[in-house]
Parts: sequence; C-alpha cells; structure tokens
Amino acid sequence: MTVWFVDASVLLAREDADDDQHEDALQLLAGDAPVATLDLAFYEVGNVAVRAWRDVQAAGRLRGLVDAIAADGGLVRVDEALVAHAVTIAATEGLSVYDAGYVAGAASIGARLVSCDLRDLVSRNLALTPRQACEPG
Amino acid sequence: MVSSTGYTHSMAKVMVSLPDDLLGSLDAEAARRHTTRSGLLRDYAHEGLRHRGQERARRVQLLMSEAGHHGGKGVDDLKRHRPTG
Repeated sequence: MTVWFVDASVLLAREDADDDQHEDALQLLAGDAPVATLDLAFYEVGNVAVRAWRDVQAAGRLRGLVDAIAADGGLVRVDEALVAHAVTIAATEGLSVYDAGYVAGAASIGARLVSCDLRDLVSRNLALTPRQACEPG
Repeated sequence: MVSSTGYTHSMAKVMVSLPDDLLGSLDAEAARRHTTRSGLLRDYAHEGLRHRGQERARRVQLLMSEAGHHGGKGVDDLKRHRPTG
C-alpha cells in the first residue's frame, strides 16, 4: 500500500476552492490510503493563511487538517538527520531546503511525495500531483 | 490457491513482543470469539488501520466543508512568504 506524503501546497489546495487541484486534494486527504506530512506544514499553511490570504479562519481549518493527519499517526517530525538529508537534496537538485525537507520527509518513511508544485517538484519527478496520486493503479 | 489455513493471500510469519498480561488478555479474547491468536491480531490490525483512516477522513470532510476562495495560487503564496533570511 502506498503512503502519500503531502506537502503544504496540497493542504492549501484543499482549502482553496479556486485551486486546480482542489477536488483531487480532498479525495486524497479524505481517502482510504494512509497520508503523512512534515511538522513544518503546521507553520507553512498557517503562514500563507495569515500573511497571504489574511484569513484567520482558514488558518484554523488548515491547522485542524494537519492535526487530523497527526492524529492518524502521519506527522513526521523534523530532526537533525532529516535536515541533513534535506540539505543534501537541496544542494543536488537546486531546491530550497523547505521543498527538499518534504522530499527527505517522504523518503524517511518510504512514502511517495505529493505536491502541487509543478515547477520545482513534479517536473523533476520528485513528486506526483494530487490528481496523479488519485488515478487508479 | 487456497492454503490449509483457508486464506488465499500469502501470509508471513512474524515475531512480536508483547507483555505477558496483554498476551493473556488477547488469548482470553481469542477463546471467547472462538478464533486463534493470529486471527484475532489480524482482525485488530485491519480494524485499527481502517478506523484511523476513517477518523482522519471524517475530520478532513468536516473541516473543509467551508473551504474558501483564495485565488488558486497556493504554491506561489507559499514560496513568496517563506523567510528569505
């Protein structure tokens, strides 16, 4: 069974009805397959909700979404080893350490990364989009 | 192909460590249900995995029933507001 490791962009897509991946993100997050994310997502989604969207209620819903994944046993915590791996990935792939952190987090539990970041992650085959992850087979 | 256990899937044998009192409780429950220790543990594993996923799905549905409209630029918003040092 595949474990899907979602980055902050997938959580934001679920909160944003205007996002192209909105429905697929819901299907993924509310589906039967196990889902995980990085504890960094707590900060990242809150930051976007407050700083970019100016929507404190959205911040609360997004916080609850990450907490639901955590309660399901799916929260990977950043530690020294994960950051070291993320730095290596960032240097190799030319990514930010934030993006590389999700790549390293997925690798740490043998999961498949899911992201809406087409330019930096999906185009380099480092992640699937929510739509791709929801495709049968 | 159906094995002698009646299962059609391949089955691995695993060793797990359990406290004596927990094992005693499992054996008592297995006897009460007229099943085996392995059968009971399989049932509990299935039930536990299914229940946790369902609870997450329920919470996601509930929380996200009020999704807003934010312009569909989540990735850009995310990157623009990360600390740059």
